[in-house]
Amino acid sequence: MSASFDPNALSERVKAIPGGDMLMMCYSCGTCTSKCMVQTKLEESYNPRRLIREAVFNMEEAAFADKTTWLCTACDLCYPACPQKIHISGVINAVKALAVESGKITPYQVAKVDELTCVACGLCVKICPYEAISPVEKRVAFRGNITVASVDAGKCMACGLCTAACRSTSIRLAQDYNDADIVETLLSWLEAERASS
Amino acid sequence: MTETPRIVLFQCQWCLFSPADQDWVDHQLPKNILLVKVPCTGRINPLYILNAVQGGADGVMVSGCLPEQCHFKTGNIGARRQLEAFADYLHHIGYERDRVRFLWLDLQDRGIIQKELAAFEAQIEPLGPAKNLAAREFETAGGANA
Repeated sequence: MSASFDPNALSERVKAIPGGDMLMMCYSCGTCTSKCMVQTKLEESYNPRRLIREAVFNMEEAAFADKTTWLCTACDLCYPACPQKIHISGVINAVKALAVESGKITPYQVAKVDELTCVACGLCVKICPYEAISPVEKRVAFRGNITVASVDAGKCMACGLCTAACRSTSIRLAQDYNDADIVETLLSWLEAERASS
Repeated sequence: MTETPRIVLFQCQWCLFSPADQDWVDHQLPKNILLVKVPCTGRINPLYILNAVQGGADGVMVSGCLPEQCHFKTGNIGARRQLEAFADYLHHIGYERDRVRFLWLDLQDRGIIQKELAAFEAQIEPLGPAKNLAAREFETAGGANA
C-alpha cells in the first residue's frame, strides 16, 4: 500500500479537506443519486455516486469537468440516507474547492454585481447561504476607490437570495430567472387576462 | 362578479418532490393561474409581488419548502421574514391580507398543492376583484406616452 501512496493524488487531497475525509467509505450503492433532487429536476446526468468514484480513482480531469461538482447545492437530502454516513455534499464541496484552486470556474451562471450602483450595505453578504459574497475595496470607473460587493464564482449557486435582498438592485442573475424576464411574464399575462375579461 | 379570480403562483423550483404534482403545476394549471417558477422562495423580490398586485392580480400564492428543508440551506427563512412583512404592509395599504397566501410544503407531501389552490380560490372569490392597488389602465395608443 505504502508504495502506491501519492499525497498529490486527488483522493488524498480531497481527504485532507474537512468534509471530504469520509470519501473512501463509499461502496457505490447509489442511494445518494436516488435521493437527489438536482438529478430528478434539473440534470439527468447529475450523479454524486459517479463523482465520488472519480475522486476515489484520482480521475482529476473528469471530476473537475463533472456537472455534479458544480451543481450540488448542499441541500443534504442524501446525507441522512447514506448507509455509510458520508457527508456527500462535503465531499463534493471539497472537490469543488480543489477545482477552483486549479483555476476552473463554474460553467453555470452566478450572481453579478453592478459596481456602479453598489453601496456596500452588506445585506447580500449577510444573506448568502454559501458565503460567496464579500465586500472588497477596488477601483471602479467613475467612482474611484470604493468598497463594493464581490461574488466568488466558485461558491455562488445562483439561488438569487442576494438579488431579492439588495435594496439598490445592483446585484442580479443575468441569464435564467432574471428580473426583467420574470416581471415581463407577469405583466404580459395580467394584461392579457385583463383584456379578455 | 362572476369573474374567476386571477392568481399568480410563485413556486420554488424544489418544493414539489412528487413528479406528478410538479407535472400538474407545469402543464395542467387552470387558465386563471399563472405559474412563476423561481429557484428559491428567497429569490422572490417583493417587487415581483408588487408588480403582480399593480398589474391587477386578485391573489398571490407563494409555495416553498419547510424551513429546515430549503434546497439552498437558508433561503426560505429570509423569504419568510421578508415576504410576510411585505404582505402585512400590503394589507396596511389596502390589499387584503387574505389575498396573499404562503404555502410551506414538506417533502413528503403529495397532492397538497391542488387542494390548497382550490381553497385559496374559494377564499378570495368572495372578496371580488382587487381594485385598490391595481395601477390605472395600461396605456393604450393615444395615451400620454403615445
